Amino acid sequence: MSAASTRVRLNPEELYQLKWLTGGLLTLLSIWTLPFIDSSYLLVVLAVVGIVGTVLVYPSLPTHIPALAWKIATPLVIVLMLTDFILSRPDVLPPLIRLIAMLTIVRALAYRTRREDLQLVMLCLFMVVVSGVLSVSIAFAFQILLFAPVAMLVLFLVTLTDCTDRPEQIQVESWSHFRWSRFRSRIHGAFDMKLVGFVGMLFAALTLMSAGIFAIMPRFRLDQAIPFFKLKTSQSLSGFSDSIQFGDVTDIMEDDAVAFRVDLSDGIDRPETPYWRMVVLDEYTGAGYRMSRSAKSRNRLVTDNQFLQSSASKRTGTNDGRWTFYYEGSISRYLPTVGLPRRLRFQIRQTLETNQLLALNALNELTGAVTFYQLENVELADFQLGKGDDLVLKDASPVAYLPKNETSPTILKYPMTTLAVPSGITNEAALGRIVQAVTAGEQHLPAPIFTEKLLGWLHQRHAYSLKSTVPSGEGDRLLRWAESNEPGHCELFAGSFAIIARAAGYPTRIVTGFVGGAWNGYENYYMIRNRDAHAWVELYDEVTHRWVRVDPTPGGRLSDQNNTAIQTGSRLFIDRTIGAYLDSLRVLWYRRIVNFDAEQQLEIANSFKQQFNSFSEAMKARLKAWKESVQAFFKAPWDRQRWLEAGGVAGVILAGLLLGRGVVLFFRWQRRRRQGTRGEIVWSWERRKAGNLAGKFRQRGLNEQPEMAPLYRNLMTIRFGREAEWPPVKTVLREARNRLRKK
Amino acid sequence: MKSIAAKVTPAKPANQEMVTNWADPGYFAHQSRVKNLLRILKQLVVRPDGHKTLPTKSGIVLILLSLGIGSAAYNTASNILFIVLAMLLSSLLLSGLLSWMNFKGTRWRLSLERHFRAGDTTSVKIEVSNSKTFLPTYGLWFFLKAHKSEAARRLPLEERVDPAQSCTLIWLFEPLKRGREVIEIVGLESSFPFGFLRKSIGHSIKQEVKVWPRRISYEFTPPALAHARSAGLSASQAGSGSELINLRDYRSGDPLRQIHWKASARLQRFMIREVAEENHESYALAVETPASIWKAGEQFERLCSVVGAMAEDLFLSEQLRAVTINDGESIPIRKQGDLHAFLDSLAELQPVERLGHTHQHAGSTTITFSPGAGEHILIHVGGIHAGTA
Repeated sequence: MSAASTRVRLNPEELYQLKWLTGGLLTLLSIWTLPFIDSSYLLVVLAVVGIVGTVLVYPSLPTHIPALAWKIATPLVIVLMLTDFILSRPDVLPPLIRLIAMLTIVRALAYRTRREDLQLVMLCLFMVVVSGVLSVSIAFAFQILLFAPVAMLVLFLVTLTDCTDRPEQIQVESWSHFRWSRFRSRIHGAFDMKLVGFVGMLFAALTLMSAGIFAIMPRFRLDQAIPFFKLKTSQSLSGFSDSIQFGDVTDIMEDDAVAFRVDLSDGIDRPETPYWRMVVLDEYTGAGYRMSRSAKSRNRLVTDNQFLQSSASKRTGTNDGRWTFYYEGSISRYLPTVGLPRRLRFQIRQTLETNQLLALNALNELTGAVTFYQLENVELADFQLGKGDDLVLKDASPVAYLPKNETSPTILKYPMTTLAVPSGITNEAALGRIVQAVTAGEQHLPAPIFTEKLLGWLHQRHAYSLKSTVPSGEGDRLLRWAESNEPGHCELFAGSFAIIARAAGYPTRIVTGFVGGAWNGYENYYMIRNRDAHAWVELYDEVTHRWVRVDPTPGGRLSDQNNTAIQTGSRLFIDRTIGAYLDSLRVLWYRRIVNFDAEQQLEIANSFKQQFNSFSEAMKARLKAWKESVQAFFKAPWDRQRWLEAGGVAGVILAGLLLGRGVVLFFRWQRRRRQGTRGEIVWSWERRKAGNLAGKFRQRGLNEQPEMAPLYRNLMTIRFGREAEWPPVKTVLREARNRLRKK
Repeated sequence: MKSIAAKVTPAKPANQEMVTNWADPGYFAHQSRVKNLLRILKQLVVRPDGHKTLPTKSGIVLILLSLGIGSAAYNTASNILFIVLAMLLSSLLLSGLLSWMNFKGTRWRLSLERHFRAGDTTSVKIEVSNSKTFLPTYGLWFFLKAHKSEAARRLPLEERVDPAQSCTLIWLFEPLKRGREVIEIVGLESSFPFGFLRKSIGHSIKQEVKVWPRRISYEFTPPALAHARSAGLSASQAGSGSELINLRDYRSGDPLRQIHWKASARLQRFMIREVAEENHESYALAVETPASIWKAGEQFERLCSVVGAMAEDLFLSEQLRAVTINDGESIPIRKQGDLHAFLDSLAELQPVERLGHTHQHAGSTTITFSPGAGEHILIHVGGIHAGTA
């Protein structure tokens, strides 16, 4: 045996301490995942980090907690949380998460037995998994990659500490003489970089193995899959609700966060300025717009995994591709769509609130998690189809009506709400003046011409600005602004356009959503940020029976980067910043992991099959060519030159073999030199002779005799043992020969 | 019975110990790497004899958890859950791989003292050696069994064994009865690395050892007449005389002048000369166990104990000349080995049906034994009562 290792061996107490501290670290890692579910957990997390962190720095603190407190802690938590469950009805998930968090804290603070360690690991795993499932965030990938090695280290240490006769004693006694300085030096002494490297390699192998299992795990048709629990949230951006006030959309534009991402399948022409339609508001309230009650009454709750959006007969120029949306939670219940999609599809069954009349789709409840859906066969049209609106709107006149206040119900029904204008003499007079100025007295202008004229009138008087001022005075706010020369934001432009058009007899409705977005230069997808929030108008063209999109906001509304893009010749901004790179990782996560399904599995399998086929074909061709060249070489007449060539080839092969052997021997020699021992010589004259003599001992039954046993054992040690353990060889062999001779 | 913590020591058995051959998990039985690889692949499919892998409680929890998460993953089509499931399954695979690596290159053997004594605590040693070149060995449990004493022990390897290192695990064991005791490593198991799977190897190593009779106290007052009649008889045993009777290993405290330098040079370790002590006050022990007198039972055990104790005491006081058991020849006791052989015989002594002839203990220095009242044993010297046990 070689000299004893100088690496420190941690004793059971130290292993127990390390295990306990690692368990605390695991708690911190797990609790860190909660804010990804809901930011409201942040304070709880900070409190836990503070408490657990303090205890980790001063591990003897829990010894000051009375034993009674530990005994009642778990029942108390359970009672508290049962109360929480009752009070939080019908929500199950939030109190459950709170319960798990509390139990984790109790376990993290207490000195743990083996069973409690396993409980802690389970609780932490639960938190990480629930956070991952609810948030579907890329952070989960990092969290699980951090969690897994630490959890395994805890389990490893649990196994080691369990390998002793007195685990309970260790648990009690361990902390009385704990000193960080000594513990650090012991851990440092036990540290072995080579072993750490090996563990790192093992973990990499584990990750690859997991990826492999994930990829090959059979997937089935997911149409009937049940949605996982969703954590409901009441926070949504006010600009995308069914009732907005002027300024709500502009407020969203202050935020630079990505609202959603859109991935286009191959073959789709990328629109330069797509309009992402979310909410349609048909009723003017004086302070803003809202969806009328009659329009809302057309909402239908449907549960399915695919929803038909528009019939094929009325569509032209559809595109066969798919638009995949990765829609961040807490933005709005309303789902952004683009153009005229044929079908809206989810990966699993979903309950959706659809409104065929307004061509809207909304989740039945707002969640904090990312929502994934696809639009199929999208026609990039700048209009929406009128769904029987012409029957009501044909030859209809504007209605001067304004609800008493923002919350009072209207007496008008959709689509007549799209012709409602502010009532009152002042307002009617102002509208009359504006319409006269726009149309110059012309009646029954075609909708496109009227639109052009009104846009020209608005743009002549108003510039775009996020900061706008509405002049004081009598009458409707929008009309006061329209008649002024003040700059305005998209809501003022859209709102003014809508009521002026209505006054002129053209039904209009306000649409809020997003416009444009940046094109991620790394992974080729749209990134739509909150700053791209926008409001525009849909004007009903009674000739075509379509709601035609009109964006009254001048081009200056577009964000600075879009301006830059326009100046450089392309209207779509291609983002190649570091932020875009980091964002592209998120989309990769969504594409490759979160949305991985049987179809992608099949693609991977086909890709492997193709690669294998092409590789085998290439190999066959190469082997055939090689065989032919060898045959040709041997068939050709042998002259001196060819002999030299053959000799050269043979020499090169021989040199290669010798070199390879030399490398192997060199590494063996290096290893032996490092170990400080000579290598074991398996065949030597000593071993052979000892083997022969031992055989004779066995033949004569001498090995059974007690007095011969040591000699026989020595012979066997020489025959099979390590050289370092050999007894004096010559003496043993001579003695064995003498004994044999005497017997 | 208790164990003491494993200590890392070179695996070199002391000369007074018996060691078994090394045992290993049997992963590599061939010299050829290819054959070994094939063997391992076969073992992945066909479990080797004695090898067993079962889930622990936490392993069962993990399996149930995996089933639960798998079920949830398929029902909800959540790829996050599929990732967790993949991680759990691969950690199970990794656990099996690491467990295999932990056993690989680990070998163990029994190392026992040559003799046990009933009632005395003795150490049963397991030498654990790690012949791996890189990885340490951790967390093994050895199952030990003493058949005759019906004692068993689960002995943990508490500290790691580094590559090319060994350590010794000690079971402090107290044999209860004299006779042949069989100490066996019934098998070993490990839950390494994560405690999910318990891999056990039922590889048996046995070693038989003789358990000498229990030492008991006795009264012995030899009649003064005895020595007067034994003038001229001497005990030839280690002492300070001139006749060389044995060579033995050096022990701490031995005088340097007794080192046999030639033998030491030849054997490359210090050897001590043992020379015969010139002693004229010596006894011969004669033990006769006819079944007509001695029945197997407590009194017979007491006989064996008192004979053994007297033999040792007389030997130490250099007063033991020879021993005789039943019909056997009189064996001169000159050295410690002779005494040990006699104690070995005592370990297995049983009442005999008939004796060929009764020894004529003509010598007045022959010690004989007869049953006394109750469980007592009477000691006689030259036929004269000289003590009780």
